[in-house]
Amino acid sequence: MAISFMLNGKSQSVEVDPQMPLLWVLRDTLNMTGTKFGCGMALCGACTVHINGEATRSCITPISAVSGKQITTIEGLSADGNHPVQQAWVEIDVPQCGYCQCGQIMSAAALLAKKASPSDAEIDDFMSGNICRCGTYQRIRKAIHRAAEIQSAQHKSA
Amino acid sequence: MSTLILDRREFLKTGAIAGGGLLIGFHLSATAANDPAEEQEKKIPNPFDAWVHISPDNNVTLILEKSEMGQGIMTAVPMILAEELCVDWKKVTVEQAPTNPAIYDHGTGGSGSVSSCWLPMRQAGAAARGMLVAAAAARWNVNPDTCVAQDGGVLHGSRKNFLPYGELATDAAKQPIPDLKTVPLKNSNDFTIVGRGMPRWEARAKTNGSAKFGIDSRVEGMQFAVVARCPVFGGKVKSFDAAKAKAVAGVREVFAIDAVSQGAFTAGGVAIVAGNSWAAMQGRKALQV
Repeated sequence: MAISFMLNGKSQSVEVDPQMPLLWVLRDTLNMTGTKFGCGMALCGACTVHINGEATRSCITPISAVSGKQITTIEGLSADGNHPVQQAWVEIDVPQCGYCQCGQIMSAAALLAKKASPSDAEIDDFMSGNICRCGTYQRIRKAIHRAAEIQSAQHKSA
Repeated sequence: MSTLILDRREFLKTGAIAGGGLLIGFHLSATAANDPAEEQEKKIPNPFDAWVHISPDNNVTLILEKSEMGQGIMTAVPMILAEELCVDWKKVTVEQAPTNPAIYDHGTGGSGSVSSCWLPMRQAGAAARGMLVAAAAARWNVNPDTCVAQDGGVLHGSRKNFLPYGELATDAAKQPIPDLKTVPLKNSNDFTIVGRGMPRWEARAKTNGSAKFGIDSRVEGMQFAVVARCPVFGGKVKSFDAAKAKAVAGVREVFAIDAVSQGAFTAGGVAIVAGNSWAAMQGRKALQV
């Protein structure tokens, strides 16, 4: 049975096992490999995408559960890779190995959509589900503050 | 014969490259350079494992047999080349060398890449610079000692006599090849790139999902496999029943694989091959070993 949803602003339909997690539909069926497999148990955050704007772990989200919903992946976060979070990430040079960073960025973007100027404590709380083995946490926090500035400047000029 | 081998260990230049320019080949891997002559013979026609190309349109490309794993190798090594070549390091494009174990060993580890690349990259950059300066001096009919390399070009006297490398590259390929062991290297007091913090070359790719990790490799007709490993070190498969695993939708094949200890190392086990990772994982759960 075909399952349909909106993926990065475009309608998408797939015929797969309804239990198959969204992560594997993205990676293996649709060849969108920016979303990463880390643990498969929603413990690490590498697979984070937005479902109807909420940061969600795609590795434990069956594809049947996203029918009719709006999904955004790292590939669709911005048209040109210039979302305020992405800009800040490059400016602060956050990634080291980079494997977890797409998930970190998706979580950070969801946080800033809710909270325009989060405190350190709010950042730490919201980002606690995204693990980085390289230990880039200090730069991540700095980059979220910077992204908040970029976002606020964009709002003012818009 | 030894001369031939020696030549191969030094530079290769070729006019045959599409689009012209200056192409130099050299050795980064100590293993490759130290291979016995007969091993080097087998690697003909391409015994070099590192390449620098300067194109007529002023692009500098480094083909590097290293893997970026977050240690910054694809930033640091081009910095060394750019320093010695006197070009802005941002204008150096780095490409990972192709997979060809006969030529490129891709060995990246033990914190050794920067130290092992340091001298070969500097020598390659210095030799290319020397050939570009010689080409400019020949064009202006002046002594090469009165020319200097800077900002990706060669300068003689006033700024009017400045030629970017791209305009010199094809001529430079016809210049004599400097001896790598004696080619003059830049004085470290004149360094403007090495020793400074530079933003990572791959930062953008790692923030937009385009950076390719091993797990992101895709080839035509590719299947996905999970391997059931023995829970005990050194254990071997005694028997397995694939029926339940094969009954999982999407599972294509189930078979035992032997331990491999040559080149790579794996412990062996039972492989479940499927059309996607999820089906392979479900097949693994259903497998009876």
